Amino acid sequence: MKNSSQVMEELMDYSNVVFRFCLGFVRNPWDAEELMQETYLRALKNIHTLRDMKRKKEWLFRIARNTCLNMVKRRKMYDLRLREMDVQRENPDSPERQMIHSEQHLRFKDSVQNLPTKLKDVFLLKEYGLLTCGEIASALRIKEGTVMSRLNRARETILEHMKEQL
Amino acid sequence: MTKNPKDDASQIADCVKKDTQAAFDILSEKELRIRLEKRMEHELRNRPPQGLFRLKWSWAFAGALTFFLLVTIPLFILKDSAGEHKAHTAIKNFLQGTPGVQSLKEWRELNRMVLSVKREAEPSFIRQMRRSYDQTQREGLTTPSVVLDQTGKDSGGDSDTSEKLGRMIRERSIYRFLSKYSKHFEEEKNG
Repeated sequence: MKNSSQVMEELMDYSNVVFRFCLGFVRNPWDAEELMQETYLRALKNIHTLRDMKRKKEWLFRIARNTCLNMVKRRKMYDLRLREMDVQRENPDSPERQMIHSEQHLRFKDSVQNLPTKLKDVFLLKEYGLLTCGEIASALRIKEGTVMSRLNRARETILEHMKEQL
Repeated sequence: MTKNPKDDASQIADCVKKDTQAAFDILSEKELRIRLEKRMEHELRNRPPQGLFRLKWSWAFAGALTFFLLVTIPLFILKDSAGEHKAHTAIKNFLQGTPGVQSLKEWRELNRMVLSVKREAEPSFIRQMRRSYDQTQREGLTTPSVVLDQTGKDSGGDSDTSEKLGRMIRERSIYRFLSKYSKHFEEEKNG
C-alpha cells in the first residue's frame, strides 16, 4: 500500500494536463495556474478519500473540475481585466500576448465559457485535459455514450457560436 | 450540405492547441512544476497539527471514553470516600469561627442560667407541695389500692387509709391548680 506522499508524487505528473484543463475554464494562464495549485492543495487535504488507486487521475480531475467551478463562481475572475492590463503594460508586443488577445482566440474562449456546464465539463476534459472517453465517464460518473454525444453537441455549439460572432 | 464532424473537431483542436501553446509560452511547464512544488512544500510545513476534531469519529469517541474512564470515574470514587468527611469538617470549622454561632452558644448558656434562677425563685409553698406530692405518690405505690365512692370516702375500709387518700387527692388538685397558675403568671410576666 502506497503512502500519501508517494501518491501525491504520482499525481504531480499530471500537473501539466491539470493546468491545461484549468486554462479551459479561465481566460489567462495566471488564473489557470492558481486554479491548478488550489486543485493540488485540495487533493493533498483529501488524499485519504482516494480509495481506488487505478482511478487516481479521474479523482484528481474531479477535484479540479469542482475547484474551477467553485472558484469561477465565487470570484467571477474579478482580477482578470487587471491582469490583462498588466500583461499589456509589461510587453504588449510579444507574440504570445498578441495571441491571447487576438479576436479569434477571444471568440473561441467566449464560446467555451458560454457552453452549458454539462457540455463544458466533457469538452474541457477531452480537449484540454486530454482524457479518454472512458476516463471522462468515470470522472463524471456518466456513461461513455453520453460523453460522446455531449462532446459532439459541445463542438457544434462552439462552432455555431463562433460563426455567429463573425 | 452536411457538416463534416472531423473538420469541426480539427478546427476546435486547432483553437485549443493555439490556446495551450500560448499559455505554455508565457508560463513554461518547468516553471509551473517548480512553483507548484514550492507551494505544496510550504503548505505541508505550515499545516496545523491534527486535533481531536479532525480525527475520525470512532477515534474521537474512543479518546473521550478513555478520558472518562481514567479521570472522571476515579475522581468520583475519591470524592465518595474522603471528600465528604473533609467537607463536613471544613464547614464545621468555618461555622465555629463565625460570630453568629458564638452568640447563639452564649444565648443558650444564659437561657439555662435564667431558668435555673427562676426555679430557685419559685414560691416556697409550691416547692413544698411538689415535695409532699412526690412523697405521697411514693407512699401510695406501697399501700394497697382502695375503691372509693363518689365523695372520695372509703366505701368500707381502713379510716387512716381513706383519710390519706382524700388528702392526696386534694393536694393533687391544689398542686395542679398552682402549677397552672404559676405557668400563666410566668407567661404574662414574659409578655
